[in-house]
Amino acid sequence: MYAPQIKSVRPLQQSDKPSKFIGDDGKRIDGRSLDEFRSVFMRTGMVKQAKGSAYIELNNTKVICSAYGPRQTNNEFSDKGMLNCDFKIASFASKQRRKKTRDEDKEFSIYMRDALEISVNLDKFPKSVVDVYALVLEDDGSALAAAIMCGSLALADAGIELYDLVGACSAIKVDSHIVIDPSSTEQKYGVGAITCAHMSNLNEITQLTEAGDVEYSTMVEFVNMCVDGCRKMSDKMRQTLATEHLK
Amino acid sequence: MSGYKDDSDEEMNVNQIEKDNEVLLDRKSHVQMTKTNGRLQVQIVTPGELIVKNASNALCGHGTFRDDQDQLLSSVCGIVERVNKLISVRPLRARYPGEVGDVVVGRITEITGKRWKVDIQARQDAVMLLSSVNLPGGVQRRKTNEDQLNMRSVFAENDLIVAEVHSRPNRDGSLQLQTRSSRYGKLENGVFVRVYAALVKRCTQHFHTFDFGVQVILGNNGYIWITKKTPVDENKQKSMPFYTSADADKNEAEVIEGKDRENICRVRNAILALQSQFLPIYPATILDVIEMSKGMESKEMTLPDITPLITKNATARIQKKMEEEDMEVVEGGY
Amino acid sequence: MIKISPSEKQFLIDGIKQNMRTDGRSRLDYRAFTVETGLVAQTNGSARVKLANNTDVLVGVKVEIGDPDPDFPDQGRLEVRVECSPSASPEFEGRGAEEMNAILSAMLRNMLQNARTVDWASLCISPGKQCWIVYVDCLVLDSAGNLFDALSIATKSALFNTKVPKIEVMETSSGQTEIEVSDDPSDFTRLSTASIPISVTLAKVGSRYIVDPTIEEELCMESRVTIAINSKGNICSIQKGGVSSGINPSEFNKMLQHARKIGLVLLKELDALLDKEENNDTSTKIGFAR
Repeated sequence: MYAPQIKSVRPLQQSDKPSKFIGDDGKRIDGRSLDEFRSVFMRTGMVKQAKGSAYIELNNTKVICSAYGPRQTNNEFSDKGMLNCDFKIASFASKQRRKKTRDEDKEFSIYMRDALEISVNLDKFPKSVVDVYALVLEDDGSALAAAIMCGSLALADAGIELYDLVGACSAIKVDSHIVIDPSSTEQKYGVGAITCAHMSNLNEITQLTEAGDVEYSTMVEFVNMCVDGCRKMSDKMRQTLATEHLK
Repeated sequence: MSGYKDDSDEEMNVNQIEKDNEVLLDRKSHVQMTKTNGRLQVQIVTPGELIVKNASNALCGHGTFRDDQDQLLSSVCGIVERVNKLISVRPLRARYPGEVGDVVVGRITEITGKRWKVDIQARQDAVMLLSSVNLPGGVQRRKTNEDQLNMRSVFAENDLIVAEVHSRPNRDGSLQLQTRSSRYGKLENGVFVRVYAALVKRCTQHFHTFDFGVQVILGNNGYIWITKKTPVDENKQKSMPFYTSADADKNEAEVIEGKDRENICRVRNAILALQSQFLPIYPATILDVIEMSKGMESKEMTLPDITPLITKNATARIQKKMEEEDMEVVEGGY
Repeated sequence: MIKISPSEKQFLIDGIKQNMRTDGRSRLDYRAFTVETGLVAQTNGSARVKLANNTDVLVGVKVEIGDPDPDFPDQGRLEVRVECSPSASPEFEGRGAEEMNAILSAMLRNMLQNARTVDWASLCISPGKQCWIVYVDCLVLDSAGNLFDALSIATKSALFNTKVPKIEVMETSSGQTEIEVSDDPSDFTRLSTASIPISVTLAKVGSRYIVDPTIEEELCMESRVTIAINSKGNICSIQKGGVSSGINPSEFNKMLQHARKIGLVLLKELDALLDKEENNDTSTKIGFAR
């Protein structure tokens, strides 16, 4: 009997770090300017089983999101509703196959819930829960921001009463320039990854996470750029909802 | 001590470890005390410790058990108390045992059927029946089904109340409370503090108003409520009993400000300081601490090196008190 | 689990408005904290932090040799895990602590895992093959509010206390690397901890914000912003939490400024405490749960 002889082969670790993130012409590797989003595609209502659903594409970052409920809970009496978010990344979403890392999913689920719950009028459904499930099909950076926006669209599509739509935007510092909507390469080698969710009509930040050592002045710039980005995105979300609604 | 002799007429052997010390009995509180180096100390036993060797005559009280050699052992850590033949151990950090007539402060945990469940730091939540509260406005009448539906507007979940232990109706040890007096009812606009139930000293009056305008309710169960003294309005007091949720909505609570708030903080921190030194909590000791803390900011009172300093007078008071009681006992013809 | 009635809540909120909290502190007052280091002999470094005798956290750091992260082959690795022990509060039992654990671990990881906090490159032994893995394991022993800041202070202290054994890397004839760990316990290196940040948590209650909230105050807060500050005054991580209110961007900037100021003061205080702790002879310490 032959057993196929397999040598364990480790893939060669080649650094994919480019020598320069920002070209001499002030453009990024993928040809965008510093504060330019990738091509955005949004639509709603693609999951027929769900009460509301949405899909967002930031070029190679693809997120699908569905909202269910409100449904009754068995928990303690509460005169306010609850939002339950579940964030998952598909195992084929990034270059290397993702092993199950529940920790990260849990962390992002919490961020997503915090970002969205403030926008939901929870007084309208006491003792109930609304579930929002986000699935990242492909992750080429800014997956959390995409998931938050997608969740907000799904909630709106499900007819849940909202105070405002939640726009979200990530930014990072590469080669001492701040860029928004970073790709996964930029995200990997940049400093100070920030993701911010913002309700543009109420002008309130609903969620903000940042990791990485930056000066105070940079941080202020970060927040301003993100808030601007969020505004742009929520305009886009409004357009999408309006056109899909007319269909 | 003749009552404690067993059949063989041998003196009851009281806690061998302490046998070199003079054993005294504080008649007032029935607490077993020992004198070590001229200092009075309450006798503290640990679980499994021998209290009485030949215990065929003694009665086995709370916190004690009898082994197969007829010895009486302690099952909790606490103070030995004896009343005639009954020997019991009062635990220091256990839950509130409950006694009918006690004033307690409690928190509503649940509303089921015709009753509220109330957390009073006892083994089980106490119950309070719809029939044992006064309705908003103080009307006295039979409670209807409608009242039952509106129970949440009287006391809602998480509300704090002051009540009296009415009875112990069941064998499972749960207590029944009542608020059928103008003194009892919902607590509003103040601070809640939790201490060990054993530290709250039994007094004739558990509602106390300090002359600097702060009222404390020292619940026997170790829950304490501190608030600003409300000006007594005679008419109001009679016609309208304590607030319920419905009443509270009507009269917008006054915001406590400035000096009053500072005083409330001071009383709160004084009580916590007493607890950290394991000293009994009653108006006199609270005042002692407040007196000592004059000249410092109220926030300093919680600093770990400050608490022993500000409780010095209270400690001295307790020590003195114990000695006085000792004297009385001796004079009483020992 | 601690509960609070609407009326108590109102009292707390009024107090915060008047800058007089229930324990007498003003809005930006921290509780007194104590730091002890080198408590757990089985670890390479450990620390315990208590906030006003109430919040109690213990952090143990272990370093082990292992595989580096394939994405960063020339750096050491960090593993952070926070565990809220059910002995701290019955609500942490079973899966109850899951969310708290996740959010606390994420905060610490974000705070530490960037190139400038620890010199991660110095923890590389043989690029792509072997490196030091720093395991930071945090236990919450008692929780009375502000776990975030307590954990960040304890983590910095534990890393300050950490001793990495000296090693020697040898190339064998067959091209393999062999590592020899020094068995002399006094032969160790320290981590560079000067630029490790600590966090300052601001809790927004009503229109005001406070630092170092107690557990009761945490029940009243509308949102929480945890901001990590290092000795240069740089911001190393931010995490916003809390689900009942958003924050206006200009207000957010103000919070950043406040946190920075408070963080720098706290860092100075902590550095002094750690130096003192380091010079103390810890071998004579008895009774750790003081």
